[in-house]
Amino acid sequence: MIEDVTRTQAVLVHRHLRTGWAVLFVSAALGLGVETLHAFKIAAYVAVSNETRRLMWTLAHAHGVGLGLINIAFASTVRLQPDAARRRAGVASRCLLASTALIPAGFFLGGCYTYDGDPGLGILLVPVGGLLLLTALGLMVAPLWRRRAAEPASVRPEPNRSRRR
Amino acid sequence: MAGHDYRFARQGDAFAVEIDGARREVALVTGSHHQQRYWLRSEAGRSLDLLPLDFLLTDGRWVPGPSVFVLPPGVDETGTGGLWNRNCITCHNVAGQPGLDEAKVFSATRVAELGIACEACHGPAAAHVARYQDPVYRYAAHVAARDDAAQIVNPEHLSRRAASAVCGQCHAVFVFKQHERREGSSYRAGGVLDDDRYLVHGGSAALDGAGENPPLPPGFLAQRFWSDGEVRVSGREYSGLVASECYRRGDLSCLDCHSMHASAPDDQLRPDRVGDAACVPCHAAERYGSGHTHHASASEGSRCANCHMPYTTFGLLKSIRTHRISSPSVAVNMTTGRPNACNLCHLDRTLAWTAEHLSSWYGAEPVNLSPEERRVAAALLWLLRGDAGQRALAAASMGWAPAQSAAGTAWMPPYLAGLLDDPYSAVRYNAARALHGLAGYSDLAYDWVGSPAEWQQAQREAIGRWRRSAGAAVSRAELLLPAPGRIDVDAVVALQRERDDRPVMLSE
Repeated sequence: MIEDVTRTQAVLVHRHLRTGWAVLFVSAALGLGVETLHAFKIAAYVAVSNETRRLMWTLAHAHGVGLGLINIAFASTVRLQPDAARRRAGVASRCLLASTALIPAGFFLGGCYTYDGDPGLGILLVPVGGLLLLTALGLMVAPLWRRRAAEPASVRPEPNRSRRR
Repeated sequence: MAGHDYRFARQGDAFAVEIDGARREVALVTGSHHQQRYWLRSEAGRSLDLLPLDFLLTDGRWVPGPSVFVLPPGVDETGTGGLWNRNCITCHNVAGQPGLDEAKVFSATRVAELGIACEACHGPAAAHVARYQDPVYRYAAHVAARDDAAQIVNPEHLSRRAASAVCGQCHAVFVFKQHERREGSSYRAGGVLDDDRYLVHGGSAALDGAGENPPLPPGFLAQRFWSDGEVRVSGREYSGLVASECYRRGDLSCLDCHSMHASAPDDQLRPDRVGDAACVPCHAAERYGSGHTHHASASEGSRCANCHMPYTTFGLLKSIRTHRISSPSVAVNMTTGRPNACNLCHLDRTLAWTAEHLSSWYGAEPVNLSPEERRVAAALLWLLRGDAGQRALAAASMGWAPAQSAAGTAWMPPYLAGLLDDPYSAVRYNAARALHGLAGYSDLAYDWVGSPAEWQQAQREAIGRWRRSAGAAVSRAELLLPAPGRIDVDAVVALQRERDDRPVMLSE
C-alpha cells in the first residue's frame, strides 16, 4: 500500500513534468510560428479580416505556456507536499491533463476556421477544458488550504515510515 | 499656401490646424483613398467648416481645395459654413440629420455614425446586434448558415433593383423632396429610394420609373450631365446604370460587378468580375470575340469596357468609366461633345476615320462632319477647342497606357505642354500627369497649382525638349504636324480661338 502510494506519486510527478515540458515546447514552437507569420505578413494571419484567427492562435500559445507551467507546478506540489496532494491527486491529474490538451487545442482549432468574428466550432473544447482545469485546481487547493501553515508536510513524521520501524 | 500659414498638430487622438495662428479642431475627415477633405469645428451651432486645403493621397501633398475640382477660374468654396451639415452629411455618414432650426442654424445636426459604416448599406442594426449577442443563437446561425433577413438588410438578398438602390442612395444625381433638410433622408437600405427624393435624369425622355424632374436650380443639369442626359461626373454611377439597356431591358445590378467586402478598395470590383468577366455571364464570349470587336482578341480593343464603358465621366482629378453602358457613336460625340470610345484610345485618328469604321463594321449611319472633323485628330479637337471637361478627359486619355500604345506618344508633348497653363486646374493636372509619364519628361519642373509664369516656363522647356527629341520626327497631317519638328501653328491657333470657354463646373 505504502509502496503503491509512493509509486503513484512518482508516476504523477513524472507524468506532469513530462507533459509540462512537452507542452511548453509545443507552445514555444507555436509562438515562433505565429511570430513568423507576423514577420512575413502572411495575409491568412495578419489581414484585418483574420483578427479572430490571430486572437485564437495567440490565446492557444499563451494558454499552452500557462498550462505547461501549471503541470510543472503540479508535479512539484505532489513532490513537495505528497501528503496534501495524496487524496485526490489522481483525479486532479486526469482533469489537468485533459484541460492541458483541450484548452490550447480548442483555441488553435477555433482559429483554423472562423465564422467572421466568431471562432470555429473547435472553440467548444475550451469551456470543457476550462471546467476541468478549474476542477483540478480546486482539488489541489482544498487540501493545501486545510493544512496548518506551521506544520508543513515535510517536517511532520511520516506515518508510513514509523509504522515500518 | 494661398497667402495663409497652416500648421497641423496632433494631441493624442485629437487633430488640429492653426490657420494664421488661430487654432481650429479637426472634427472629421472625408475621403480615404484619393483625397482627403478636413472639416473643422465652428462656433455656429454644430456646423462644420471646410479647411480650404485638400490632401492628395496619390501625390502626397496639400493643394488648395478648389483646385481638385473642375471649377471655373476664380470660383472657390468660400462660405462653406453648413456645407457638410446640409449636403455631405447624407452620404459621408450614417443616417445623418441636418437639424436645421428655425433660425436657419444647424443646431441639432446628428448622425448615427460618422463616416460610411455598416448601417449605411445594411440598415438599422440594433435588433440584429442584440440578437446576435447570444452565442448559442450565433453558433446555431453559423452552423445552419442561416441569414436572418428579418433583422438586418443584406443587399445580396434583396431584389436586384432594390440592391442597386442601396448604392443609388448616394451614387446618383438626386434632389430631396424635403427642402428644409431638417430630418435628413428617410431612405434606409431595402426601402424605396423614390420616397424621399427625386432621381434626376439628364435627358429629355423620362427613364423607366423616373418621373419628370422637379424644378432645378439654373445650371444643375449642365453641371452633372452631358447634353443627351448621360451623367458626366464621378460618384453618380447609379444614374448611369439605370439609363443603360443592361438595366432597363436586362437585370444588371451594381452587385453583379462590385463587392464591398471581397474587393480591392479602388473600384471595389468583384474578383470574379474583373475585365470581360463582368459581361460574359450575359454576353457569351464566343459571340463577342474578335469577329465582333475587329481587334485582336487579346488586345485592349477587345475589352468590353473599353468600348462600352469608356472614360467619359470625370472626378477625383481623373477620368472614370461611364456606367451608362452604350456603344461608340460619332453622331453622339458630335451632338453632345462627349468623346467617343474609339477616339479615346485612337487619339491620333479623326472622327471621319472612326465614322468609317463604325459604318463598315457595325452599319452605323453616316454622319456629316465638318472639315476640321475630317482633317484633324479627334483628340486634338477636344484638347484645342473643347470645353474644360473635354480637355480634361482628353489629357487624361493621353496618359492612359492603352491609348498611348494605340496612338503612339511621340506627338503628344507639344499638345500636353499647351495645356500646362490651362485656366482649369484639373486640365493642368491631367496634362502634367500624362506629360510626366512620357520618356524624357519625368523630371520636368512643373507645379500645376503654381503661378502662370512657372507654367509658361515649363511649357517652353517641354516644347524645347520635344524639338530636340526623336519624337519631333513625326509628320502627320491629322496631328497638325505637317513636317518633322514643325507644328501647324496657324491651325492650332485657329482651333484655340474656337475654344469653348463657357464656364464649366462639374459637381462631382
